[in-house]
Amino acid sequence: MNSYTVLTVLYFILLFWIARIATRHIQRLNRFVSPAHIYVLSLAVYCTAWTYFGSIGNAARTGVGFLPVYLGPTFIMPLAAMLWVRMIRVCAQQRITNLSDLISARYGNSISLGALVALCYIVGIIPYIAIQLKAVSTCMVFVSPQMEHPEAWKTTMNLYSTMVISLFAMIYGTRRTDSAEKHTGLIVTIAFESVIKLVAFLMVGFWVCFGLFSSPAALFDQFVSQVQGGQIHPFDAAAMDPLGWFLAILVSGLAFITLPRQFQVAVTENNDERHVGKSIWMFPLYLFLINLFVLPIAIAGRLVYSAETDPDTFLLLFARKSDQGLLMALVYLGGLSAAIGMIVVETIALSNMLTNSMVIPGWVALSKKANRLPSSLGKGVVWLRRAGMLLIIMLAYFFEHLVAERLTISSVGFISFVAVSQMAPALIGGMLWKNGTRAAAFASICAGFFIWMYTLILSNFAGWSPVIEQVVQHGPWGIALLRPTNILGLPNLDPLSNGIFWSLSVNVLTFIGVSLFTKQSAEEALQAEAFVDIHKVAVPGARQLERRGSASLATLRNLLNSFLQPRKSDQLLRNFAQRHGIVLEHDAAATDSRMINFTERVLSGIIGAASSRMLISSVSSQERIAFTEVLDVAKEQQQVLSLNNKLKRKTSELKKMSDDLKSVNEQLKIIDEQKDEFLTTVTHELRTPLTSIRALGEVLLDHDDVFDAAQRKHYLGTIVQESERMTRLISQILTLERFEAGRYKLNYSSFELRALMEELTESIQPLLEEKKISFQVFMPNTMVVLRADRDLLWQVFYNLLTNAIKYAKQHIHLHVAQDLQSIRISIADDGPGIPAEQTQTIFDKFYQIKNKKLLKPEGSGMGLAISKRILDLHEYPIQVEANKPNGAIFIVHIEQ
Amino acid sequence: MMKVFARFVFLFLLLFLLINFPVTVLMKSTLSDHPGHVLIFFLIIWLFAIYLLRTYSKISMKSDLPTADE
Repeated sequence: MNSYTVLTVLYFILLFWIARIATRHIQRLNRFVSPAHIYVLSLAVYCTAWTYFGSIGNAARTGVGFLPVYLGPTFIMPLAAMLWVRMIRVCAQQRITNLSDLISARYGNSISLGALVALCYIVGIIPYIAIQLKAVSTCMVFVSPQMEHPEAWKTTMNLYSTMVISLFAMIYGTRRTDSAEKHTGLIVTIAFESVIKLVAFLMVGFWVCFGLFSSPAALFDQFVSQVQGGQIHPFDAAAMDPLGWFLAILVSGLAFITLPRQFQVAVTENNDERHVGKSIWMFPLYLFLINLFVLPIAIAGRLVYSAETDPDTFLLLFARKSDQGLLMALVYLGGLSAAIGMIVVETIALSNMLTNSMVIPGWVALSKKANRLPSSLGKGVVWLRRAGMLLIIMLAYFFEHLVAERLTISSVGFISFVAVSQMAPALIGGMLWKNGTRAAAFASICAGFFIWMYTLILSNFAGWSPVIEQVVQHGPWGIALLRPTNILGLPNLDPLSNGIFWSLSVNVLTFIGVSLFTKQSAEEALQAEAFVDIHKVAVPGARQLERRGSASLATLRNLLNSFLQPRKSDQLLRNFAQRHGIVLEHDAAATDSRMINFTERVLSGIIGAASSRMLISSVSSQERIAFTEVLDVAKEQQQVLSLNNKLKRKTSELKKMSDDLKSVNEQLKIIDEQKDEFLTTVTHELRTPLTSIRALGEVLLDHDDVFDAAQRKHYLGTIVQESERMTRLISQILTLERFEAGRYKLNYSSFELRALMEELTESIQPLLEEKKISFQVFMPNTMVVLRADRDLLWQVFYNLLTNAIKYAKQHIHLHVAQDLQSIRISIADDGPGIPAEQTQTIFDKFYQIKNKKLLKPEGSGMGLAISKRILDLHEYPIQVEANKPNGAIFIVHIEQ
Repeated sequence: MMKVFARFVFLFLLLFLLINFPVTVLMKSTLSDHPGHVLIFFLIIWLFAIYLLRTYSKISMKSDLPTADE
C-alpha cells in the first residue's frame, strides 16, 4: 500500500468525519463559517474534473476556448437567482425535491412527463459521471508506482474508488425517508471540497508562474518567441468563433440552471433565500479565481512537455515536477474532490428522480391496479434510493469502461450540458409563463432530446457501425441536408454548435408553438397559477383553490404508515390538526379535506408529487376540479390582490394626509403661541406708558395745588412723551400687520441711491453727534439707480442705522458695492455684536423685549421686524454677520 | 414580471457584449502573439462584470427576489 493509497483512505475518513460533525453541530460550525458562504461554496460543485483537468486541456489547444463554460453561469446568474427563489418557494410549499418532480408538478402532476424528464436526465448525465470516474482513476494511477499490468491496476482502483464513492453517497445522501429534509453534512463536505480544489489550483498556478518561470511575463514571452520561431503551434483560433462562443455560453448558462446537482444544492438544500442574493456575485467570483491560472498553466505545459503529452494531465505533471510532496498531495486531493463532489450530488439527485418519477409511480400504479393500498415500505424508500444510486454509479462505471476511454473530458461535458439544456424551455417557461402546457413540455423535450441524440451522440458512434457512418457522412437516405453534423448545411457551425443550435431552436419553438395551440387541464391551470404567481399566492383574504374530497382519518394514517413510523404519522397529523383547529374524529367516515391535502404534501416529500397525487386519489373520493373553478379562483385572487393594492395605496394616501395635518397642526400651535406671546408683549409695552400717564394724571388731579407751573409742565410733558411712545408703538404694530397681511402695495419709483444716503446721513446726524460716533459712507463713483419704494427703503436704512447707533461704541461704516447684477449695502458697527444662534431670531417682533439678557437700549424692538418685512416685500434678502473683531454687519442684497 | 425579465435580459446582453466582443473579435488574432495582454485585459473585464453583478444583487434582493415577508 503506497502513501497515496493511505492518503486517499484518510481523505475519505476526513470527508465522513466532516459530514458527521456538520450534521450534528451545524450551529457551532456556523460561528466560524457563515451559512451563506457554505451555500456559495456548495454551488461550486459545478466545477468538476472538467474544470480541474479539462479546462487546462482545452486552454492548451484553444487559448481561451475553455471560458464559455464559466462565462455562461456568470451571465445567467441574475436569471438563475430569480428562478431559484421561485423554485425554493414552490418546492417548500409542495415538498418537491428534484427537477423531474418539479417539471411534472408544474404541468399538473403528470407522471409520464416526470418519467420522461428523469429518463432524459439519466441518459444525458451518466456519460458525465463516467468521465468523473475516469478522472478519479487517472488521478489514482498517476500517483501509483509503475505496475506490471497498469490497465488491470487502473480497473481495480476504479472499482474500489467507485464503491467508496457510492458508499459515501448512500450514507449521507439518503439518511431519512423524507427527501425534503436537508443534507447538512453532505453540503458542508461539498463546500470543503470546493475550498480544497480552489486552493490546490491556485497553488500550482502560483508555483508555475513564480517558481518554474520567473514571472508570468517571462512565461508568456517564451511562448510567443517559440510560436514565432515555429517550435510550437499557435492556438486554434477557430475555437473563438463568435457564434460558437455565444452558443457555448448559452448552453453552459442553461445547464447551470437545469443540472440536477445545481438544483440539489441551490434549491433543495437551501436554508435561507437571502443566500441566493449573495451567490449572484460570490459564485462568479469563485469561477474567476479557479480560472485565474488556467491559461498560464496550459501555456507552461505546452512549453515544458512534448506535444504527445495529454494536456488534461498538466496540473498533475506540474505538481509532481515541483518536488513538493504537500503540493502534489493537495493537487491529488483537489482532483478527487472535484470528481467526488460532482458524482455524489449528481447521483443523489438522479436517484431521487429515478425512484420518485419512475419506480414508485410504477409500484403505486400496480397497487392501484390490484385495487389495494400499497404495502408498507417504511425504510424501503431509503433502500430504494440507495439502490438507485448504486445503479447509476455502476452504469456510469460500465460506460466509462466501454465508451469513455475514447472521449475527452471536455467533449463529454459539453454533450451532457446540451442534453440537460433540453429541459430549459419547459422548466424556465413553466416557472415564468402560465400558458405553457403539458403537451408542449412533453413535445419540446422529446424533440430537443431527439435532435441532441441525432446530432451529438450519433456522430460519436460513427465507427461502431457502417450504417451509422453512412448516415453521419452522407445523411439519412443520402440527403446531405440532413447530415447530423451540419443540418441544412448552415455555414460557420462546428458539429457541437450545430447540435446546440438545432436542438435548442426546435425545442423552444415547439414549446411555444404547442402551448399556443393546446389547452391546459384544470389541474395544470391550477399548478401554473401556483408556480408563476408564487410571490402572490399569500394574498390575505383570497380564496385558495384546494381539492375537496373525503377520506377517513384511519385511511390517511394507514397511507402515511406505509412510509413512516406509525408514531411519526400520528404526530404529523395531530400537529397539523392542532395548528388549524381541526377536531380529529377517529371514527368519522370522512375527515377535513385539509387533512387530505396535508397528507398529500407529506407524501410528496417522500415519494414525489406525482406518485403522491396518484396515491391520494386512490384512497379518497375527490371531486374533480372544474376548469371554470380554477379560472374563478384565479380571477378572485386577482381581484383581492388588486383590492389589496388599492387599500395599500389608500392607506398610504391617508397616512400622508394625516402627516400633513399633523404638520399643519404643529404650525398652528406655533402661530397660536406666537400670537399669545405677541399679545402679552404688546399689552406689557402699552401698559408701561399707560401706567406712567395714569399715575402722573392722578397726581396732577389730586394735588393740583401742590405743584407749581414748571412742575406741572414737566409732568404734562412726560404724559405727552409717553402718549407719543404709545402712538408710535401702535402705529408700528399696525404697519407691521399691514405688511404681514399683504395689504400694503409698494409704490415703485426710480431714484438715485446716493441722494437717499445723503438724506439719511442728515437725518441721523443729531443722533451721531449726541453719541459721538463717527459715520463713514463708502459709495462707488458711478451713479447707482434703484427702482423700489423709496419711502419704505428710507425707513429700512433709517432703522438699521439708528439701530447701529444704539449699539456702536465709536464708529459706523456704510458700504455700497455694485456689480453687474446686484447691489450690496452693508452697515457695520463696533458694538457688542450678535451671537451666531440669534442671527435669525433678531428679526422677530419684540426681539429686544424677549431677550432680557441684552444690554437693551431704548426701543420697542419692532424696527428690525418692520425692516425685514419691507425688504421681503421687495424680495431683497438681508443677513447679519459678525464684524471682526467685534460688532455686527447688516447686509442687504438688491438684485437689479 | 416583464420589468424584472427585461432587467435580466439587459444585464445578460451587457455582460455578454462586455466580455464576448473583445475576446472573440478583438483578440482572436492577437491571442497567440500577446497572450499575457489578452489575459490581463480579460481578467479586468471579468472583475468589472462581477462588480456589476454585486451591484445588481443589492438591488435585486428588494425587487426581483422579494423576501417571503414582503
